[in-house]
Amino acid sequence: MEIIFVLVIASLLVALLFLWLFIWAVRSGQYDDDYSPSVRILFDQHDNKEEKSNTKSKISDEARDVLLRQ
Amino acid sequence: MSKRCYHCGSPSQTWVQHDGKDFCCEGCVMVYDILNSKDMGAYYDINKAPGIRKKNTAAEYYDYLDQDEIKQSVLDFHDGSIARIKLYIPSIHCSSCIWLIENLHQLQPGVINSAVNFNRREASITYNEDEIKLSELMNLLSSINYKPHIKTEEQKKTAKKSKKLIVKLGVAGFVFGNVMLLSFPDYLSDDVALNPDLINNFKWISWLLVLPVLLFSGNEYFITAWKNLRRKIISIDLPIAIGIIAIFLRSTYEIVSGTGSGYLDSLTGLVFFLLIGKWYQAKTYEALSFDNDYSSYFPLGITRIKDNEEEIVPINQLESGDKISVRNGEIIPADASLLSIGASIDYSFITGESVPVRKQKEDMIYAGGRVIGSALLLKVEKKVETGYLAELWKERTDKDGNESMLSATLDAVSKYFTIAILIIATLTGLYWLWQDSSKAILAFTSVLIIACPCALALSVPFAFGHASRIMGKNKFYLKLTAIIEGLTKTDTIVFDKTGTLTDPDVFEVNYEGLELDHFHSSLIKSLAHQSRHPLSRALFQHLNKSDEFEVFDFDEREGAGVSGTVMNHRIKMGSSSYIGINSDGKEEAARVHISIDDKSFGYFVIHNFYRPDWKEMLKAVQRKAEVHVLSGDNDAERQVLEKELTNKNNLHFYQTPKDKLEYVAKLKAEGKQVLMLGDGMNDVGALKEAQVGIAVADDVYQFSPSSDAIISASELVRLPKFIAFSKSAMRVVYAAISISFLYNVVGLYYAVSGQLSPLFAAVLMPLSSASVVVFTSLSVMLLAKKRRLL
Repeated sequence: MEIIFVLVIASLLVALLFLWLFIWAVRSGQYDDDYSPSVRILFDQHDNKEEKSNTKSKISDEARDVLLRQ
Repeated sequence: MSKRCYHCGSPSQTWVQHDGKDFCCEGCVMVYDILNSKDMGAYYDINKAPGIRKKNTAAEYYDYLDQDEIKQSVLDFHDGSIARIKLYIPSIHCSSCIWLIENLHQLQPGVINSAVNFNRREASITYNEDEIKLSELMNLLSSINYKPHIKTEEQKKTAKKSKKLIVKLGVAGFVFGNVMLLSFPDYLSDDVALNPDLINNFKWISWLLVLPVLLFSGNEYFITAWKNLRRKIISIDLPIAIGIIAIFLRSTYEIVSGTGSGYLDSLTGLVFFLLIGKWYQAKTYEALSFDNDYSSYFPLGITRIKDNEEEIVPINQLESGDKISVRNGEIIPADASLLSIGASIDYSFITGESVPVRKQKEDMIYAGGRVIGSALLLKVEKKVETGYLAELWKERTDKDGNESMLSATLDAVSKYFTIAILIIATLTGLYWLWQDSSKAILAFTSVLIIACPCALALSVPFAFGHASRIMGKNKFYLKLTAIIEGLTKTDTIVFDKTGTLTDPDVFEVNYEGLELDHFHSSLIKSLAHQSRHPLSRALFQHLNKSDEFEVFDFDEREGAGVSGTVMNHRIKMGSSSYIGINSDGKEEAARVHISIDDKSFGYFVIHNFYRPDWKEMLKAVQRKAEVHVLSGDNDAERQVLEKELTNKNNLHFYQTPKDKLEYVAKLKAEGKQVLMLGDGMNDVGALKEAQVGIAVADDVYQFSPSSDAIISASELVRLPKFIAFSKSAMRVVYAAISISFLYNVVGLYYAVSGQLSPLFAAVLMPLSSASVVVFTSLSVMLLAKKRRLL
């Protein structure tokens, strides 16, 4: 019967691991925002395309001036 | 479908054609061009017309942010040239906004990374200081109409607090589950039971597991109960704390002595449920700020002039005697005297009076005024914290101090409840001491355990928490759920006029007199455009279909009128005496008389535009409560308002912020429960003074004065409905309290007679809590459905 005792300790340790994971998730801010991650995942495609074009056309000094003047 | 702006989706009367698309204004075209030139058209693909229309044109200056000291105080993180800042951007409203802000690095080299927290309307932006200055970053965001704000310390704190509660809840849930499993073998009948040694070991494991629940998850109940006791207040926390301690001590005794199995599963369940209630109630609107103080309106840095050189200093370093320079559109940060020759100051922010005030050299200018026109040179007379505005704010910050976070009713109930329970427990103990002394301690603790008011403590969080969520869905946002109780008691309602009952941006214009043709209207429009007076602005808006010509010899007389020459015609408009005609004395303040080439044509009557259905709303609230209207403006609207009020003596004009505060204080002194509704800084004193202060906002995410609740202006008509709904919610609380008493009576019967078994406690306590939660949530929901709030 002593084996049950070992099993209980083992199961408690596993549960503790999940508790620790939960606390870590809360602390690292994963529960802060429940909206943007759900839409952010859909943006990726755009992002790749943009990245390429971005390397080609660096912002010209002129456009930058326009932006900063306002 | 009618035509909508491609960028911001708003309807418009004039259209700008650009790139084959329709725009409502040049501002929208500009943002479109900026985005298009960077291949960021995807902004428009994610959502239709996601843009934001620029509303007020008041210039914002951010150059003070490049001053080292100020920069360090606002940055989140700073190492070498890499810096990170958290900005509050209330205009974030859809997935396109998230996309755009998270792709800022494409728009602007130097931005390394940006991440949006949608719930808090917050963007965390990492950038390279060598490539872009903080002020440039802020300007960039404003230029695409995502106006950023810097978060105050106070706002950062609340986020941390709610995280801690979730961790506490997680720990309690974890322990609750495990202790239940470990207690399970003990409840089995003897023939299937485990080895007693094993059960004994399980008990000790449970006992160890309970410690974090007691010391970490449930610690707040002890702390609050103790704090309140020292202030001689008995709150709901006290019987809970007593119950928790009683269960723990009794269980420890039983485990140590081997006489029983203890009630540890009930204990953890109790704390777990209580924390769920707390969490449900504490979930507030993170994106809204209820605690803005005057400093959220002021710039962080001020241009000071010392030895003929301009330097930027943090606002709190301003000393009296300093010379400062304030530019067009900036807010004057401290009470100061004017060194420049003359100036126009827009005080609408503070007084509600929409007409700019003319100030002469050496006049005293109070903090909070907005400079109109050229930059001013001022001498600071008082430090920022001691200025007129700051004092107004401070006056009521320490509101009654011991205000209940939950509910005054619940605290009153729990006071008698606690005393009754202690008496019953003592009597039971004494009775058993006399009958069978071995059972005395057992019966005494049993009473304390079973009487632990878990269901009672859950009734308010769930009833009010649910009600406040339903109100939130209807754009009425409460800072604390306890405000519902304040709403139910209201018997006096005080309204501010400008911006609360009226829409400050819209006017109702009527013309009376000789007929004006298109040419005449165009002359008037051209002249009106030159003046900043609100009546001129209203006229300009009204005559939007007319043309505009150049104006010569423009002259504006304070409190009188304007004149000028347009297309060789001499035009004057203003008060009757300015035009040189006799007045019939009626509504003089709302009239603009017109004369063209010294011939009097007639007059425009310009009235505030009242929010739709405001009359019905006032009628409905006057059935239940006394209504007062205070206005910082002149009495041009007296006749309109008098018609709607049952008691005409409750209508007051020319009220300064201080008058409003004192007016509310006077009503309170008469024993009235005052609900104040206001929209601006001028109402802040009164909002704080009233038992319940509600800020009315056209856009709830913009800064509004500190208050107990924020209501979207469009929903103001539903105020009577919200008050009635909170009364229903209160009745649900009473019913829930009765139910929990019923459970207590049943439990007490067993406890007093000394037959409380751990199994019975383990079933009864969660059952009572769960049934109260289900009952309150369902009935509040049904009531909301009945009132069409859901």
